[in-house]
Amino acid sequence: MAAERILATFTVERIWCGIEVAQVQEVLHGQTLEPVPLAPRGVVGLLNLRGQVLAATDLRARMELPPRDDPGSLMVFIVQHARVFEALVVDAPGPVVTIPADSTLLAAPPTTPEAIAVLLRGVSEHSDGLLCEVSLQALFGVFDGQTG
Amino acid sequence: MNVDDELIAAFLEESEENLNQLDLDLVTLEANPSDPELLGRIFRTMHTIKGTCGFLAFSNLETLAHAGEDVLAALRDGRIALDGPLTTTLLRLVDDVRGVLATVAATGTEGNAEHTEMISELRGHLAKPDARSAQHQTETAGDRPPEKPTAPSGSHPSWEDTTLKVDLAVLDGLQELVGELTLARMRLGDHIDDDSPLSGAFRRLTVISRDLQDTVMRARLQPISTATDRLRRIVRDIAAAETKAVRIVVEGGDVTVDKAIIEVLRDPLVHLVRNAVDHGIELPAERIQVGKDPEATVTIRATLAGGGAQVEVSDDGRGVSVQDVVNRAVALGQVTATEASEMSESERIGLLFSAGVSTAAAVTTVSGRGVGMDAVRTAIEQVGGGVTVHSESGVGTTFRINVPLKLAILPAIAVDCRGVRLTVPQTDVVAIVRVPREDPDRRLASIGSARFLRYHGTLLPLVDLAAELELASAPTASAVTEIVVVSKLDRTYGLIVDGVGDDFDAVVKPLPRPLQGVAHYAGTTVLASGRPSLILETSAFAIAAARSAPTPPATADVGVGQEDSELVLTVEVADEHFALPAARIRRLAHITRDRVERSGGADVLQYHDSVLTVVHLRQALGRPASPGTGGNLAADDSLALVICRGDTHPDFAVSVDQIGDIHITAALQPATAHLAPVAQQVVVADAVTQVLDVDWLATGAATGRDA
Repeated sequence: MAAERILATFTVERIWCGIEVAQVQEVLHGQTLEPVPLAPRGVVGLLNLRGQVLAATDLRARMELPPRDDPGSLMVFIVQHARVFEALVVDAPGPVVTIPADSTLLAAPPTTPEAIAVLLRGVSEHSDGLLCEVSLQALFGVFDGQTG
Repeated sequence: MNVDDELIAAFLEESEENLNQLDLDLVTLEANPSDPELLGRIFRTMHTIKGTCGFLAFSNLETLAHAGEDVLAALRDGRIALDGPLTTTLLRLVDDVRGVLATVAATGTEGNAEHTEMISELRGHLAKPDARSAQHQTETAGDRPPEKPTAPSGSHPSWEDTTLKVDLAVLDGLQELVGELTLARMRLGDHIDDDSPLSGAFRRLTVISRDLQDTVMRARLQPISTATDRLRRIVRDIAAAETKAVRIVVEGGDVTVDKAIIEVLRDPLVHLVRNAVDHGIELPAERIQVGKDPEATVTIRATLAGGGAQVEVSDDGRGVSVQDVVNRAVALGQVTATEASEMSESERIGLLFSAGVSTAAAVTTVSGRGVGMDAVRTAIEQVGGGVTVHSESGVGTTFRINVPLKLAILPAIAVDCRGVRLTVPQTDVVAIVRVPREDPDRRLASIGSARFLRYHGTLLPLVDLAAELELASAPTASAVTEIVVVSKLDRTYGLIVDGVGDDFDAVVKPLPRPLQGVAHYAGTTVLASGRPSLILETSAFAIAAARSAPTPPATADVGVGQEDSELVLTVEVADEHFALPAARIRRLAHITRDRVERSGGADVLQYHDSVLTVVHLRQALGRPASPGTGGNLAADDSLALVICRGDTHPDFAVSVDQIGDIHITAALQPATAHLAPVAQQVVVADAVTQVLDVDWLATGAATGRDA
């Protein structure tokens, strides 16, 4: 990691996660989703973002964590991956965090469940705790190369 | 219209284009004052206008154009140099010419104005002594620079060479005709059966009409530069009026989108650019004070992003004061102070798009209409796009517009399924049928678990949408069965839904990437309520329909709805035709021989959760073993099985040589004695058919009689 990086963070079941700020388009609160029958794993519904229809991926579901208590009002991060906007459902927003230039990205500890480890680029040690950096490629790359 | 009128109309149209190009070229020239190609083109444009004026006897305009041409010739030859004042004069000349053309359009004559002021202004520039011109004369030794071969004046050379100007109304007409063609094709398709000699030609017609539709949509694509070109002049004019120094940079102008979307982008882009220069960009002195380059930059950047096209309008000005925006929004009652304090930063700056909130002190008018940021957003959202704003105080502001590449509108019908509102393309829908629970006309029929609808003398396989979408089964039997009859891929089937809503025009949006692998969806749309809705891919359900009928159902031999008709399945054994009452059939199966096992002296099959006795019909009827096999079938040969309900006996399977079709026949006499395998003979599809006594077969299977 040559340069200093800035991450937008959020929590999912008390796991502190982060995504590079440059990839985050905006954050929506109190969002409701339309059901999607036959949804692939982790896709929990549709939302209308100023005329564009997005399919929301629930990070909880992809991490194979227990379902959330209140599925009604959701917090959604709109991110850009491979020139397409995607919607990511998380539990709660966190602070914007600066990762210093000299810090190293560590591998996730071996005790991390497989379902979570595959979604991470790595973890960083931070004064507020262990910050897990989410890989958008791992999250959304699974949808590439599909045919209808 | 007489010949004169036609000529004048053509002149006006061509001149309008030429003047627009002049605008663009003059502003570009300011940045590249010695570009010979530009200079040549500008001169030729004015020359053409002058020539046509003479031909049409517009002498005042001709004189004006001539004066302009003189100045441009001097520029082209390097005798004078282009500076700010000269550019301003030339641009005002273009405006004056436009004014005359407007008069011509309104009255057919050029009017009486003699343009003496402009002409003397132009001549004034010619008289200026200029050190550069002396040097240039030495260099070129008085000769004109050679004319380089360039593309004809009008537009960017590459676009011009391979394109044709087409009236938008003509394209719209073409699109409408394609729509009519689709409807006519559907109606024709109703009358063409699969085995008709016309079906091949009809399939070809379907492919061609779809290709035609795609091509017409593509004909409407234009580069975004068509919307961004005139922004250069606007930036120059406002900056000059406000004594600000602004340059404009355009990137990605060759990104192409549908013409309708270009039209929608024009006004918003003008508004955003004006806004940037008016309010975003500081006076040069102020900029120097904060350490910025006194010349500000407005950047228009078009790219492909988010599945569509993205146009960004950025400036490096003072940024948007979010607090001011919030204050104004609260003052206008758009939001309460408490609500505002709970919003995220991006939501707060997004208030800029609420009605009336634009922090412009005066309402900016575009094309004579009052336009605010809210109108900008609405216009863009109407075509399925969106706009956001990002700003950093002291650094600059970026407006980001996202639009789809194509405007696809699909006539559609809304359907409900377990509370989910889905969308079905109207072009695929043949009819909507409602069957009451009692079904007095016996329109619904079943063979085992497969259900059919009697429709115009045929049996349509029914597909339960809820089952296909893996939604919960119906809590209670509904009062009415709603069926949408769909025709797709030359298959017609009925889709059972919970309810049918209104028909509406759906703006088609692409399927979001995570759903692109789900075969059942073709795209998405947004309903009037703002809720997103999935558009069903009707061909996916056609395949499900094909599964429930082994072969396409045959035409009914007997009239639909008659009390004394019955469904039968025909099978073939030893070249003879047999029939089984459909009501006694659970399902049909093809398995490999090796799945049949021997137990208790009979052939048995493990099938799902049970063990079925297999009755070989050939043997049961005492027909000789099939020739060429010696009675022994190879392990991977396939067996055709009809799995039957035993009623008082267990279910069993009947193996036959071939499974035939489903037919409607006159009601069968119920068998009484059950002494023989064949109960009666009937004629089905012109063949003598022996109707099997299922109970006799069931008893045989149960008692393990050698079968």
